[in-house]
Parts: sequence; C-alpha cells; structure tokens
Amino acid sequence: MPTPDRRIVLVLGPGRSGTSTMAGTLAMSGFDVPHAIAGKESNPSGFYEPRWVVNLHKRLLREVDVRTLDTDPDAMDKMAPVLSDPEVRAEMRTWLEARLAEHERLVIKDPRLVWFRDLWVDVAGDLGHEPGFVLMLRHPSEVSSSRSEYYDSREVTAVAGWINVALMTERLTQGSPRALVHYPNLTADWRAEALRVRDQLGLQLAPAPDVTPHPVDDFIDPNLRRRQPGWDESPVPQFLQDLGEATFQALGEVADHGASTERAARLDQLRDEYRTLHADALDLARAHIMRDRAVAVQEARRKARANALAQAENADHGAAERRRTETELAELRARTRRLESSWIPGALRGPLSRLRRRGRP
Amino acid sequence: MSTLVVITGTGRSGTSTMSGTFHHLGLYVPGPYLGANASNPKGFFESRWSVKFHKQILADAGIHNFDSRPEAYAAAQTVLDDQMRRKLRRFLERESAEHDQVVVKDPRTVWTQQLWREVAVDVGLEIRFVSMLRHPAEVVGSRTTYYSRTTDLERRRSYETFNVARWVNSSLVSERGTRGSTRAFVSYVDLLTDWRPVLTGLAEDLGLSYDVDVAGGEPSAVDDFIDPDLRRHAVTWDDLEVPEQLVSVADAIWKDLQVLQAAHGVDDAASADLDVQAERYARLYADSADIAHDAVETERMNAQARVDALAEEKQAIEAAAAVREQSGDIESRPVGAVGGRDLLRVVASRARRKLSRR
Repeated sequence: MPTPDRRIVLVLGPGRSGTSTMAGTLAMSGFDVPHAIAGKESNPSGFYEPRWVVNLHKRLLREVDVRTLDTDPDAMDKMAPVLSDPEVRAEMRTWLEARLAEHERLVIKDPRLVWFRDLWVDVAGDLGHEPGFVLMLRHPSEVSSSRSEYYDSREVTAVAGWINVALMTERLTQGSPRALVHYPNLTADWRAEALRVRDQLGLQLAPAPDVTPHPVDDFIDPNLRRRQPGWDESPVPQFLQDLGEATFQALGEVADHGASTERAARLDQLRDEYRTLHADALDLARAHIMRDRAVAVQEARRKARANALAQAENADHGAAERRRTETELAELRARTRRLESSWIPGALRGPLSRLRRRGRP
Repeated sequence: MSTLVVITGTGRSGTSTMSGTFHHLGLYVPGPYLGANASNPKGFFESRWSVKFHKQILADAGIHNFDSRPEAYAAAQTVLDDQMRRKLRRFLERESAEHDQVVVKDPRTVWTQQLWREVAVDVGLEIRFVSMLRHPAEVVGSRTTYYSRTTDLERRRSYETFNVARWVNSSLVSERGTRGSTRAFVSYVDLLTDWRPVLTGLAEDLGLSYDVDVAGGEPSAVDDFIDPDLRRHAVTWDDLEVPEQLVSVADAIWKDLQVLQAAHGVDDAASADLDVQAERYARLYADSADIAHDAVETERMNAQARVDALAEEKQAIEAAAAVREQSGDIESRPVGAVGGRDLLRVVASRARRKLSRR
C-alpha cells in the first residue's frame, strides 16, 4: 500500500500549462524525476520529464497515430492495441520497478501521459502503488498561443485539442486521488498550492513548503507566466472560444471547490457539446484532404503498370489463361465499384475511377 | 447569331424540368440523353456528352460533382487545358450547325462556366445562363424517413450538413461565375406552379423564342410534361439537423439569390453580399478543417490504404497472368516458373484477404 514516504505522482496537463513548474516544485521537495531531460532554450530550467517515458510515449502515440492534443473525441479508442499490449506493460513495469528501487517517491510528467493513464495505474498497482494525479489548469487561450509560439501549431486546432483532452483528463481521473491546480495560483503563491496538493494526495514533502528559505523560492519566477489570459485578436472562432471558456470555468469549479454531482453533470454536458461540435466540423471538412499526394501516388503506379502491360502484350496469349485473368479482374472491378459507392474522400475518387477504367477488358 | 442556353446551378433543383420544358417549346437539347430508356426516352434531358466531358474534368481535378471545398473551383480550373477547350469547341460547332437555340443542361457546369463562355465566343454563340433556385432544405431533403431511429441522428445530421455545405459552395461558385453574363434565376417552385409566366419572362430576359405562343395560352406539350405534384411537401430548416453557423450562411445566400431572381439577374448589393457569405463560408470551412484535423487525417489514411490495396491486388493479378502466359502448358513448364507462378498467386490471394478484411 502507498504511504506518504512511498509515492508516485503523475502530473497531467498540456504543454505550457505549468506542468514543469509543478514537477519541479515536487522535485525540490523530496521527489525524484527519473533521468530527466536537460533544459532547453525555450524552457531553461528544464521540463522535469523522464527521458525514457517521453520516448516511450512518443513512439507509441506515433504507432497508433494519436496526437498529444488530439481533437478527435474518439481518439482513445485507437489506444486500445497499445494499452493491452503485454510487451508494453512488461517494459513499463521493468522500468518503474527499477526506478522505485532507486527512489521511493517519483514524479512522472509528460504532456502525453494522459493517453497512458490506465496502463500506468495498472502497472503501479502491480507494484503496490496507487498514483496520485496533479492536473494543471491554464486558460486555453494562453496554452494555445504560447503553444503556437514555441511549437508552431495551429491555434484553432490547439484550442479544440485542449478542450477535448482537458475534458478527457478530468473524466479519466475521477475517483482517483487528485488535485487540480491553476497555474497562475502556483506561480503567485506556490506554498499554498503545494500544501493543497500535499493534503489532497496525502504526500510527504521534504523540505516542507513552510520551510524558509526553500529551494522552490529561487525556482519559481512570477515572470514565467508569459502572457495575459484572453482571446484578444485570437483567430479562434467565437463558438469554439465559448466552449473553451465554459470548459475552463467548469474545471476551475472542480479545482476550487472539489467534485460534486452537479459539477460532474456540467462536465458531461460540455463533453456532449464538444462531441457535437467536432462531428459538425468533421461533416463539413470531410472532403478536405491532400489530393495532390494521392494523385501523385496513383500517377506513378499508372506509369509502372502501363510498362508492365506493354511487356505482357508482347507475350503469346493462351485463351484459358486470359479467361482466368479476366475473371479475377472482373471481381476486382466489382470491389472497386463497391468501394466507390461507399463514402471515400473526394480526392480519392479520381484515382479510383482511373483504376476501374484500367481494369476494363 | 445563334444562342446557347446553359442550365446550371446546384443538383436536384429542377434543372431537368427546365431542360425538358425548353425541349417541348422547340429549343434544341442535344441527345443522346442520360438516363434514357424505352419507357422514358428523354431521360433527364441531360446530354450524355456533357456528363462525360464534366466527369473527366472532375476526376482529373479530384473533386465531386457538387464539391463542398472552397478551393474546389480553383482545382477544377487547373485541368481545363487546350485539349478540353478543343473538345468543347467541336461539340458546340457540331450541335449549333443546324440549330439556332441550343440548350445544355448540366449542374456540373458550375465548375466550367468560364470555359463555356470563352468557347461560345470562339464559336460565335451568344451564351445565356439559367440558374435554377430551390430552397437548400428542399434540395437536401429531410432524411427523417431514412434515419428515423434515434441512433441514426448522428448519421442524419452528417448527411444533411455535408449536403447543405455542397449546396452553399456550388451556389456561390455559380453566381460568381455567371456574373456579368446574360443570365436569369428561375424558381423551381414557380416553374412547377405556373410555367407560362416563368417562360415568358425568360424569353424577354434572355431573348429566346418558342414554337408556341406561351403568353397567349396556346396549348403546349409542356402542359402535360410539368407535373405540379413533383413539388410534394415543402421542407424547411426546421426539418433538418444542420449546425447553426452553416444555416446562417446558407440562408443569407438563399435570400441574396432571390433578390437576384427578382432583379432579372443583376443586383450589385446582392452580389456583394454573396462575396461576404463566401468569406464567411471559407472561414467556417477552415475552422472546421482545423477542428476535425486529426479525425480527417485518420479517415484519409484509411481510405488511401483501401485504394492502395486494390491497386496492389491488380498488380499481383496482372503479374500472375503474365507468368501464366509465358509458361505455356503444365508439362513443358520449367520447375522455376511453377514456383514463380504459385508465389504470385499467393501474393494475389494475400492482397485479396487484406482487402476483404477492411
């Protein structure tokens, strides 16, 4: 069973929402970030991210084609093969067991971590731990605009992804020991927030937050909050701003006053609203695909086949063989037609109809 | 000088009825027609030639008949080369040789109006555009009967949204493409309700002549051709499940087009507002693409994989055929070729299995 002196804390939240500051605060209060990645120019004091965890998460997300701030409300379905992979589980268990042998209190933080929540909880459970969660909260306009600056991501996509992942993160941590922390509160008064996290998760912090001076005093710089919140001159459409704002407020209620049936119902309602908004956007944008690539691929294939056919025509034709080939091609044509009559993106229709035409006797 | 009437606009908005009406009034609608058979010899009064011509353009450009993407128009323009121009020129020269009022009905012309205009000038034809107007909710049609269960609500909303978007984009493209040309907007409902005043107005606006006295009430085959029952019950926005922002754009476009109809095709304020609506639509579309980016990418890759699998299988079948042909009968076949043939057959059946799983 976990005790205050043996504990795993998982810090959740998108990039630029203060997860590094949270993880750093814990790291300076007796927790260990196993084999952390060193600091970079965009964040000189480092991200407090275990390199092994970051690499694992990146690789697995790429495998199933899920993005850190994925905008698809069904994206978690795509995680199933990864989350149920015994090899991944064994790999994770080996790593975590070794880290726990080195240090009894670990803080693990990565913006991608929420996608692997079930796996981490299971593996930690096998090793006798129940992880505590810290959810970092920062206004979506700040997360997306600073994201754009550092990661060159599109702001509309970033805000939609923020809403989707923030609502998912809240749902996935319901019933677990957790604390929701406003990033501005952490930079304004880190002691109060550290005490709150300690009490809500039942942690032991050493040195304790009320010790003065404390290494965190030099670590947290109020200037770290680089932007003022708000949607001024934002390219994000009003309807998406409204949902982002409502989601931020509803999560703020849970952060400030704790969970309740009413607040849970409100968050469910927002999840439904996001699902509808996303479905509408998908219906509108379905035809929007990269036609050039598809056309180029098909064109290259067409040329290769034209050469092959020219060679084949020179060969002697046996009637029986031809009939067999024709039967197979007829079947292929039928399947091509079936595929054509089902929904496919507009840009693939051209290559597909050319494929059908070429299949004609 | 001969006249070319192009019936353009969105699909399902009465273009066939318009084309058939012109046919019955003595204008020349070149056949053979699409959809014609023994019981329905005139089909949809849609020239097969035009359908084939436009389908090739659309396939080459990778766009749909009524593509909803704001960039679809530009994509279509990139494939309108000299070869297509010559094809259209030959068609117009041939069909106008013995007829002084030629009618071509094809809603796909929204993508090629500029080409039609230019080639008509080359051939010496005066071009007129007729755009059919029908309320977008009616064009899309309520899908309540098809998707009646509550579990189908999502599919219904999806269908209706996608198709309203198509109506929006082709309406915008069509109005912009015919601006400055002699044109008329015709209400489908008006045409079904009382065709004579509509056709009288078209004769005046477009300078057409009919083989019966339409205004004077002379009996015409059109009386039997137009079936007012086609109207059925009116569908409104209330019957559809479409996002509010899209309804707002579509409704503004519908109102502008009605202004243009009343103003005999020219109203600068309405055209200016349609440009504003085009910007709103492009913005809504771009935002939607950004929001749905990840899911669209997933769908795109899945669809691409299915097309790739078909291509791969076809290659395998053809390669197997080539080996079969070269190897002759089984007695004289060298051992190595048997292995190669069987190997390729395995490749083909594996590709087939891969495909049928999807």
